[in-house]
Amino acid sequence: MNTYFKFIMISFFASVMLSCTNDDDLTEPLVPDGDYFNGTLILNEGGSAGGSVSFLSSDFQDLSNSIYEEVNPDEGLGLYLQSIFFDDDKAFIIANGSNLISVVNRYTFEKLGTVDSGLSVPRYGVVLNGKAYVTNLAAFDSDQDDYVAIIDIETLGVEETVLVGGVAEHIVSYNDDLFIQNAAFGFGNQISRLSTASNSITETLTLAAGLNSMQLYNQSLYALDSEGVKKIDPSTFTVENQISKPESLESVTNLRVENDQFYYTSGTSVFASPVSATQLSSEFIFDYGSTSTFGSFYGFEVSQNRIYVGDAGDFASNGTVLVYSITGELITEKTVGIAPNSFYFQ
Amino acid sequence: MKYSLRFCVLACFVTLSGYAQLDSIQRLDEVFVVDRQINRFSTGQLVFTLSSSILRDSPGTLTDVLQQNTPIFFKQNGYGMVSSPAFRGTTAQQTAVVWNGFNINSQFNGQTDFNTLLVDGFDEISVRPGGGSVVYGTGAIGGSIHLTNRLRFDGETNLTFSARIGSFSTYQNLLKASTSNEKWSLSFALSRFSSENDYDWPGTSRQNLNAEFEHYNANLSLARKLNQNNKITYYGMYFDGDRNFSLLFPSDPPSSYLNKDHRHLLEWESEFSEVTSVLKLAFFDEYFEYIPDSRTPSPTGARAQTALARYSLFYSYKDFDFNVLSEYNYSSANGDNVLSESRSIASFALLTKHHWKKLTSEVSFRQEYSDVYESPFLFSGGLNYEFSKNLTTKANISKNFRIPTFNDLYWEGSGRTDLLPETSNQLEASVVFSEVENKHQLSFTGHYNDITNLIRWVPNSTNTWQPENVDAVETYGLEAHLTSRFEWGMHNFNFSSLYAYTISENKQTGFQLTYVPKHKFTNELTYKINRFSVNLQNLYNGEVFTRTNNSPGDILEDYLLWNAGMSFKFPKLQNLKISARVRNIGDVAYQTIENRPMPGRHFFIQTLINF
Repeated sequence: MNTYFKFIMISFFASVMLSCTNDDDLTEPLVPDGDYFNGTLILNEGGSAGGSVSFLSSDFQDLSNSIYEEVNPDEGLGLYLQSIFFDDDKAFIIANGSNLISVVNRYTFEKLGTVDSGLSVPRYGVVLNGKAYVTNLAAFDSDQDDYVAIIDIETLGVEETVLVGGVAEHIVSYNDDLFIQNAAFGFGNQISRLSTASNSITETLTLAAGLNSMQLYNQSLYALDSEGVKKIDPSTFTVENQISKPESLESVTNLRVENDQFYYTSGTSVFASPVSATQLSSEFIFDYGSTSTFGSFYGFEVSQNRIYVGDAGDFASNGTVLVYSITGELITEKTVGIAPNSFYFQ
Repeated sequence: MKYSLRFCVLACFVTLSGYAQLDSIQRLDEVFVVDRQINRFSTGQLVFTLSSSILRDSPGTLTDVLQQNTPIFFKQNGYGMVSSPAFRGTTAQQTAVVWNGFNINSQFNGQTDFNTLLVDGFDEISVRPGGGSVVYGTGAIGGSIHLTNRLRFDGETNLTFSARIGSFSTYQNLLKASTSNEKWSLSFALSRFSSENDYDWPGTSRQNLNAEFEHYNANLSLARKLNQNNKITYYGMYFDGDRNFSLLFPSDPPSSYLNKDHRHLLEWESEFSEVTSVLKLAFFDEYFEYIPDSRTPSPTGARAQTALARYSLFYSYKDFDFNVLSEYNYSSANGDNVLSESRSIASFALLTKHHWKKLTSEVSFRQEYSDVYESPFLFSGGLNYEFSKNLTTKANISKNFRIPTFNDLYWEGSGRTDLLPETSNQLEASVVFSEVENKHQLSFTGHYNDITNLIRWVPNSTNTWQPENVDAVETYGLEAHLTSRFEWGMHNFNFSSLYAYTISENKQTGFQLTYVPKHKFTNELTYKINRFSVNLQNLYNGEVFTRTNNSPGDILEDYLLWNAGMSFKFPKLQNLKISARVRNIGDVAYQTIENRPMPGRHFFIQTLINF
């Protein structure tokens, strides 16, 4: 009952948030104040001098780079920024090279605190019941020491760590469970379920090799591996359905689910297929013709009928963000920081 | 007046079309140096020499000495951390460091970290801008740095002890001893340099963390004259470095780096009236260990060993000097991430020099044969023409190379054995004006360098980073160098000044390479009266781009640093010399690599005693 209520609340907040960015047809809702309220946060992984966050206004006109340094002079976010997760108006920015999470106000980017101990190559995080759960790769030459750090979001101290037993990468929450992708950098084939009641790994599900992305959508967990998309029931933790990858595409990555559509990439092209399909489409929406082998689709996201692409170029010059319509028309192109790897919508 | 104007016009012309050099003045009669080519076969090029007194009076490492006294730009990851040179706009692997005639750039990454060499134990450093692969092999593209030990047979015994204390708990000590008689000569130097290196980052509230280091260096040279014609010489150096790498953010994993290198050279020289025969055997061992997180040490390391045999024959016939060189080089490496492999290189070189009236000309060739990669035919041609006692012009043209390193060839899963060496075609010309007594000397050098097949690590189609011969770079520029000496009664003034203008463009994109300043200048003035001397230095580095696409917002700003020192000698107390020095007087906040602040104002006190 309690969780059901929470789900309703989350859905409600989510819909408010979505409406907020869609400012055409609504009068100004009651919103938090801040320079970075109306638009998209772009996380730039950075080179050996540290990473940064850029902000793109919702009309795609204005871009501000290094907004954290703008608000907090003489401060930095750390080396190799990996991802951001949120809790209400707090944003948690993970630097995997500095074993650091910077906590900022999501809309003003004022620094609120840091998590600077108990982390070892932190990757992704999620907040559930007042705790942040952050995956850590630990030593690069071992996948047996990867763990989830459980952080009190008030004290910002690591309270407990849970060994995952495999690679710890993406993490999502569903009810009181967390699902952890045990695959990174194109290697690995498992998802683990972590129960927050017992703080232990309760089950592991094996998929095909090359597992690279997963997303929770409409009460289902969708995962993309070398065979295609697997639809997983998060309650029973079993594969319900498989949407196979077309033969013509060598590899498919970056699964996103939005408006009952799968979006994914292959090479330098973006594809879409309805979630009801039996096979993924092999016809691309657009090919953005990047010349960067490793840095193409370094960041990829779909939101509000817009497709966001981050291109890292040669990693030694500033990266590019391109925003496309859902049908593949280029809306804007902006130069951001080094290696833009992810997008977050306010 | 008319003459000097004409000289200036001429100077500009020659400078624009090429490249130039300064000759060092050396007394070779009583001093014995094993790098015989640097002085005999540098026609068309300039050689700058830094004496042992400069080396002993400069606090710090090779980086500190060279950035003040040469046009080379160094980028450092914070003071004392990894230091890479850009010599005439070239890459870090394109500067050769030569120890007593042998190239000692790392077998792994092809470069020398200039903060892992202590210089106060050496007797001389020579810097020769421009190509030098014909004699010194790989990497002599931007120029070469020659670390030299000298041996004397003059029967004197010397002992020097120096102790220096500086800000940030910095300590530097040197013990140097030499003795000789008619048959034997022995020289020994032991130096130590350590620092907590915990300086405050100027203009911020932060401090340099995890940057302490402790380095030891030992040099031993020993020679024995067997008879009038034969001499056996041994040179050895040992370096032991223990260094932490400074943190960008306090929560970064604290990493550290250890390196232990030792090098040995044994030489047998037979000297007859017109022929000198020299056989050299050398053994180099380089070892490093990198600890990514010292709290949970899991070091990765590697060792490379090189055995070398070089035979060289010098022959003088009438106005000709010949040198035939043949060399065999066997290197092997093993360690984490690098496959256990070996590489053999055989090389042959012929150097010829001819004197005719006021014209000296030189033509040299080198061909290498390797069991791994194809080597280009290398050459060098030089001319010196002495118009008068006051004016000399020089020109040099050469083809040089940089061979693929063990990392390029054998990195686990990435190395490629089908790489080509980087090659450079270059041209330089100089005009040198000098006053008869050499009290004043002014030189201008123009240089041009076309470098192709640059090796860069790029991701391949399966997203693995691999080395590839992808880039082409064109560099050109101008160097000006002035030295002046005045004496008015008891007052002595020494002034030196250098300026370098450097363009280094990626040929595909037209952008200036990152971390290559277009302008650099340094000045130094020393005033001496009796036992007292004061010294003032400055150093200006122009802005550098930090992004390959030269985006205007991403630069390191230019800076001007001032240093000053004074010293006093007590001749009655064994020539005790006490000196004090302040660096970065203006407390300027500057960086040579993005987000790697360098120290603000800091101090040294030194005592030096000679027996």
